[in-house]
Amino acid sequence: MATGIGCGGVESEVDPTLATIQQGVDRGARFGTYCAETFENKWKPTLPQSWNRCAWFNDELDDTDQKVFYFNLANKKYYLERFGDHQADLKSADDVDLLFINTHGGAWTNPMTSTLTMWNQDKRAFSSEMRLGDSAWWGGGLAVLATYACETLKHSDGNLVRRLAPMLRGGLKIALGSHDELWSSRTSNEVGEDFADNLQHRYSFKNAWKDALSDWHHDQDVTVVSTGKNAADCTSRKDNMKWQNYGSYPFIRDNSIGYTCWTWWNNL
Amino acid sequence: MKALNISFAVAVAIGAVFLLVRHSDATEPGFVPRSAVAAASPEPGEHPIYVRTPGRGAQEIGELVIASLRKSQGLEGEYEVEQKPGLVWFSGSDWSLRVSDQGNNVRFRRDTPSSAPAQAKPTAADVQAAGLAVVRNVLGEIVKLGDGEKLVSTGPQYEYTAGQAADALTPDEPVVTGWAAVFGRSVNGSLVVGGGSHAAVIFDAAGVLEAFDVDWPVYEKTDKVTTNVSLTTIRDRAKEMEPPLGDSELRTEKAIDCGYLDPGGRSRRSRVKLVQPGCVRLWISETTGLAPGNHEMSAFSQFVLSADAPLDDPYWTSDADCGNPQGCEPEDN
Repeated sequence: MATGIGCGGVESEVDPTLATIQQGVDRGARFGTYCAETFENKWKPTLPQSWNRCAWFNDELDDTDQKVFYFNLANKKYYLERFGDHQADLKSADDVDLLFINTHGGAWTNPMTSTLTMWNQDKRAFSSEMRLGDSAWWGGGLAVLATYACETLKHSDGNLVRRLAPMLRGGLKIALGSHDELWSSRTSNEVGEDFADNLQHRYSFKNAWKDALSDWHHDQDVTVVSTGKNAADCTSRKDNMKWQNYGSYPFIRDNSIGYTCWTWWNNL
Repeated sequence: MKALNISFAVAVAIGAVFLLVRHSDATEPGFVPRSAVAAASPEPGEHPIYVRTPGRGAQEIGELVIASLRKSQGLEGEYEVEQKPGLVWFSGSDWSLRVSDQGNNVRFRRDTPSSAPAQAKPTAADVQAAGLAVVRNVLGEIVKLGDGEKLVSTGPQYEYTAGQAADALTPDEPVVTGWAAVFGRSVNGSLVVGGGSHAAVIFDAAGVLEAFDVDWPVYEKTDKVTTNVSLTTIRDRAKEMEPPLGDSELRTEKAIDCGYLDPGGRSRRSRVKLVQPGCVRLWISETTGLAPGNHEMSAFSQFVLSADAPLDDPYWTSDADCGNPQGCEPEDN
């Protein structure tokens, strides 16, 4: 396993030889970024500052870890959903350890799914069609999904598990996002950079996300979701998993998931 | 705050604005919705302009805070110091302290073990009292008040946790697993809005100090004065800056918070220099035409200076620089 303040741990998941091939000795964990600022035919509102938000996240985290891709959201539905989330060139959702996304989001009940807005007109990626965490060539996949978008982790209607279960059943270890509103403004353009900086300084994912997004004025609604074999295991993973130790937490898939847990804050 | 419209907020402000002075009794009531204070702020008339003065230095403030934490919170162990552009990190074995804007912006966090949920949700007064104690005992060298300034209590905020077993049809009841006391600052009765001038003190479920996030510069009064326009004119200014929306999007104003505008000093890049009257307008865009039960939205904020002739400040008149010679746009694979 590579060492360094920001590297992700993978030692318990893969053969060390493979880990070296995959990561490079000094390049830490693998991360990717999908971001949209404008949308085809203006079918969704422009997201000012999105590219600063994402580029600065990349600039910070690639000081210690390996940026694998930074793509817009044109034609990415396939690469986020189950049939395309691993690619031969290792540039899809399950080919990185952490994926940061900035776009519009939503929560549907018909069908029961969270939505991520694609650049392409009328195209959305659906959590109900995702299965993250199990498609990489080394047997693992995405461990951390961080989404700066509204509503993708909505829980107030009691349907969080039904919306996210297909996505989580692949083994995704933790999802970071919002149950309601995340604000687009010139003072939130550094949240990605702050998040990366916090990860490098050994914050838990939960606190790295929370502290990066809160400014105590914009009423950010922040949620983190994890899974576990049981309630205690889920709480432990949600509260203690870090960029430095997430590899020591196994992927939990399908019927091995006994409990899904989430923590949230309103109006940070 | 979200549900408050401006007229309701004004009514609340008239009847209920209660500003805490720095050394007030910690048992006093006083949590006031931010909008209630902000709504009373953009009063017509002349308002002095302030500057956000440089702090005493990140290194000095960091060491002061660490010393206070050692004395009052039992912080232990050695630490490393890391200089980054625009900020300094102090990192111990299980804690870290981030200091930016030459010491005006401080964020502390330490690991606390996963604890059992709170036996009972603490009252607003209890949260406020605990937060004020930290403000006094740990942050006293930072959170200082000048002439005409008051500490305004705008919290509390609570952390909730819930879960659902795989074989359950519905989630378990949520429990409280942490809380925060949030304070702001008023200047001559006007709230500082936009993210600057806050002190958030965060506790775990057992009531142990877990973190704080503080932006608290000294404001220095200048000899410049501006005159506010009406809220209607401010809103019109904001609307002129609104991006157009597609036919399937519906725009709704959620709030407009007015007072002295200061985005704070967390940024490692450009920062506002002049603190002058202004508003933060929050609006959302919701997608129409979706099936019943389906919802999608986006949330936007606008910063609008509220003087008839606002003073020029580069922060408000230039876009944030990407800082990357290759640009910040992603690839299209």
